[in-house]
Amino acid sequence: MTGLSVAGLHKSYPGTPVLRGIDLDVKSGTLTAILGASGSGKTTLLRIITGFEEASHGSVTVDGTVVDDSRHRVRPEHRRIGLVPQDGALFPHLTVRANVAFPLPRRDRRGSRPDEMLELVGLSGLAARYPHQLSGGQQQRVALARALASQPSLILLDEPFSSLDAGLRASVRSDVLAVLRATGTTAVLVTHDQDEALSAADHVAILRDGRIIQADAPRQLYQCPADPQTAAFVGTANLLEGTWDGTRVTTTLGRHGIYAGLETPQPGQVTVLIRPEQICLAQPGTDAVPARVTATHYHGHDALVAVRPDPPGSQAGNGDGKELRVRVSSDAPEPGQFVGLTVRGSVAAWASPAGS
Amino acid sequence: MNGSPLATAPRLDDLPSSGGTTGGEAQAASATRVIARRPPWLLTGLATLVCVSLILPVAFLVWQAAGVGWPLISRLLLRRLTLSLLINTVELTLAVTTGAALIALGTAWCVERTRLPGRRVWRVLMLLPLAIPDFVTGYTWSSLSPAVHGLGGAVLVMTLGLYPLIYLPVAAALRRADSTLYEVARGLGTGRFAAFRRVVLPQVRPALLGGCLLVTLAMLAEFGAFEILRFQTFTTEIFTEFTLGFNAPAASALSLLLVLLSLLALGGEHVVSRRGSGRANTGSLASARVLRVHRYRLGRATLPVLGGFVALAGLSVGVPVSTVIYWRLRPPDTTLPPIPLAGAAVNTLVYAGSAAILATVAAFPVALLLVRHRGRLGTLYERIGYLSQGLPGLVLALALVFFAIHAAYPLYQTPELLVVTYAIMFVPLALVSLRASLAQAPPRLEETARSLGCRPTAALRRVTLPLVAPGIAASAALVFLAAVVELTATLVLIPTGANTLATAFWGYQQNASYASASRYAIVIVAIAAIPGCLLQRWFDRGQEQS
Repeated sequence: MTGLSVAGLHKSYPGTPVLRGIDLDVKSGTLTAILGASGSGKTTLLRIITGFEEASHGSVTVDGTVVDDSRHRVRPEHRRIGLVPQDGALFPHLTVRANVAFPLPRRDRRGSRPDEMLELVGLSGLAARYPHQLSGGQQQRVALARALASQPSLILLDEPFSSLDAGLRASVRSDVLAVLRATGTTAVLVTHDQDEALSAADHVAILRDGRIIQADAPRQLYQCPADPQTAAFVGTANLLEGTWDGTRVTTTLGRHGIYAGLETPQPGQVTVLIRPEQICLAQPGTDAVPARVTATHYHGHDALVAVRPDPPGSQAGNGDGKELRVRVSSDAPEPGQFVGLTVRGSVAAWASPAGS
Repeated sequence: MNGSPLATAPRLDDLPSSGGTTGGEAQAASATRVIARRPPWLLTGLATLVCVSLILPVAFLVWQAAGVGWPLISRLLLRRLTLSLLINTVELTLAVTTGAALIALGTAWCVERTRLPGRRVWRVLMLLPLAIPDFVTGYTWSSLSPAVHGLGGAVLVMTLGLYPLIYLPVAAALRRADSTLYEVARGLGTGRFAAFRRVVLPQVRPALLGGCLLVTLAMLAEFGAFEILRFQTFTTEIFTEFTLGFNAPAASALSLLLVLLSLLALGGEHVVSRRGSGRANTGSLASARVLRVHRYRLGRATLPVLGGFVALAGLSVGVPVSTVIYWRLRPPDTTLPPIPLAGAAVNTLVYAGSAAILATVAAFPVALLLVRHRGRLGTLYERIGYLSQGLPGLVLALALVFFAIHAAYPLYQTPELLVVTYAIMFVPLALVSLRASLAQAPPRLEETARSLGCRPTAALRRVTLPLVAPGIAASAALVFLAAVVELTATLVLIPTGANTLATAFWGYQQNASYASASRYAIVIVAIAAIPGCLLQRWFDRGQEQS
C-alpha cells in the first residue's frame, strides 16, 4: 500500500525549471526523509504535495486518491495532509488546546480528542498555555498533535527540528518519531540535515537540482551512494582513484572487495568510496600503508584524523599522497606522527568519467 | 489630512509590527517572492473599486478645470496673488518643518536615550498636542493676544501643534535602534556629537524624513488655524474663492496647484529616503536579539533640559487647555442663535463613526492585496494610496462638490456625501495600521489552517481576522479621531442646517464669541482624547511585544 506517490512531477516558474521529474513512493506507515541542500526544490515539492502550488506535469497521489494530475487539483483542505511547518506555525491567538482542536468539526472541539492528542505528545499539562509561553520543542510537539488531530493520511514535516538547539533537537526528534511510529502514521520529513535523515527515516530520498538522485534505506544510501557527489553529501567521504579487475579494487590503501548487489563497473579505472570509519590506524611498518598525520579534529566522542599516505614507490615520509580522513574512537595521534593504514570491509566504486 | 493628529500613522507602519515578527515576515516575504500567486478576482475587484474612488476626485478636479479652459486657468494662475500665496505657503512650511524637526529630534533623544527624570510623563505629554486640533490651538493663542497673527503666529502655533508628528516616529525608531552601534562608534574613537551625527542620525533618518513629510502635508492642508491667525495661504484663498465668490474656476485652478505642491513634497521625500535606504535597516540588525539601551546621564544639563521640557509642554498643551477652560468659565458672549451642544455632538459621532467603519472596510481588501499578493497591480495601488495622502481635505471636498453638482445633484449637501468624503480622505490612514497588522498574520498560518481542513474563507475568519482585530480597531479609531477634528471639508460639505462640533465652534469663533466657541472645543478635545488613548495603549503594547 502506498501512502504517497509522486510520479513524473515537473514544476517550472517562468524561465526556471525547479522540479525536473520527481518519482517517489512512500509506503504506508513508514517515514521517508527527503534530503536536499537549500535550493534543491524541497520547498516547492512540499508545496505541491500540500496543494499550495500546482504541478506543471506529473501527478501526486495520496492514500490512493489522485490529488493533482496537473489538470485537476484537490483543494489543500480536502487532501488530508497534516503539515508540521518549520517553526510550528501555531496560531498565536489560540491556547495549546484550541490549537490542537482547530482541525476538528465544531461539535468535537470540546470533546476528548484534543486532550488525547496532547497526551500522546506528552504535553497534557500545558493545554491552557499560549504558544509564546512554550519552548521551541514544545511548540513542535503541539504542531504535531494538531496535525494528528485531523486524522491525516499523511504527515509532512518541513524541517521541523532545524530551529531547535542542537541538544534539544535529538530529544524532540526521538519524541516525535516515537509518536509517529506509535500511531502508524505515514510521514515525510523534509530536511537538509543528513544525520537527521539517516537516523530518523526508514527511507531517504536525495533531492538534487529538482531530481530524486537516489531513494534507499539509510544504510544502503550511506554505503553505496549513487554517485560521488551523493557520497560526499550524506557523510564524510574519502574518494580515491583505483583499478577494478573484475573481482577486486586496488587503491593506494590496498585491495578491497566491493559491496554485493552493487552494479559492477567495467574493468578499468574507477572512483572508490572509503568511509572514515573503515580505515583503521595501526603501527607503521607492518603490512599497513605508511602515512603521516597532518591534523586532528577532536570531537569528544570521537576524532577525525587527517592523514597523508605514502604511496608505494614514493620516498617514505614525504606524505605526498591525497589527504584522507580517518575516524578514531580514542587516542587520536598527534599531527606529525607516522601511522599505518588498513581498510576493513567492502567499498563502493563507480567507473571513472572517461578521460580522467 | 486636516485632522493633523492622525496623520501620524502613515509612518507608524513600522511601529507595531516591529520586533519579534521580523523573522517571520522575512520568511513570508521570501516565500511570496518565489511564488507570485494570483489574487482571487473578488479581492482584486474590491481593491480596484476602492483605489479608483481614491483617484476619482482628482479626475473631477481636472475635468472641472478643463471645462473652464486653459486660457482662463493660466490667467488665474499667473496673478501676483498666486506668487504671494506660493511664497507664504512655502516660507511657512519650511519654517514649521525645520522647527518641528529640531524640537522632535531633541526631545525624542532625551526621552529615549537619557536618564531624564519623569520620562513616563514626558512620553505622554509630548504626544498630547495631537489630541488638540490646530484650529483650537490657533483660536486659544489668538484669543490670548491679538499680537499672535501673521507669519510669526502661524509658525508658533503650527510648530507647537505639529512637532509630535515627527516626535512619534523618531522616538519609535530610537527605541528600536540598538545603542550598541553608538557605543561601538565611541569605542572606535568618535566623539559624542560625531557619533550622534554619523550613527544615531542615520538610524532615525527614515523616521525623521517620514515625519517631516507628514508635517509638510499637514501644513499644505491646514485651513482653520491660518484663517484664525489671518495668514493667507492656498487653502484660505481657495476657501474664500469658493464660499464668498463661488468662483469655481479660480478655486479649482488654485487647488490643482496645491495638489502639485503636495505631490512635490511626496516625491521629494521618496527620492531622499530612497537614496538613504541602504542605511534604513541599521535598526533591524538588532531585532533578533534583546535590545540593549544604555541611557546617558544628563549631569549638569538636567535642570536646563527639564526646564525646556516644561516650557514646551506649557506652550503646546498648557496654554491651549487652560485658555479653553478659561473661556468655558466665562458667560456666553454671543448674539448668534444657540446651537444645541448635544445635537452637534451626536452629528459628529454619527458622521465620524460611519466614516471610521466605511474607511476601514474599504481599506481592508486593499491592505490584503498589498500584503499578500504583491504584484504589478499591488505596487500601483500602493502608489495610489500613497499619493492620495497628498490630497488636502479642502481640495477633496471641492472635487466632490463639483461631482455632486454636475453628476449627482441629489447627493449634494447630504450626510452620505460627507461620510464618503471623510472615507476617501482617511482610507490611506486606515491602510497603514491594517497593513502593519496584516503583516503580523503571515500567510503561512492561513496555509497551515487550510492543510488542517479549513476552507479559504474559514481560514480567514478563524486565523487571520482574530490576529488583525486589534489593527482593525486601531485603524477605525484613527479614522474616527481624524474625522472628529476635521474642519475644512466639513465646512464645505455639511448638510444645510446641520452642525457638527467643529462647524459650531467655527461659527462662534468667526464671530469672536470665544466663550461660546469654547464649549464645543472642549467636547472635541475630550472625544479626540478617547481613541487617542486607546491608540497610545495599542502602540505601547506593540512595543512591549517587540
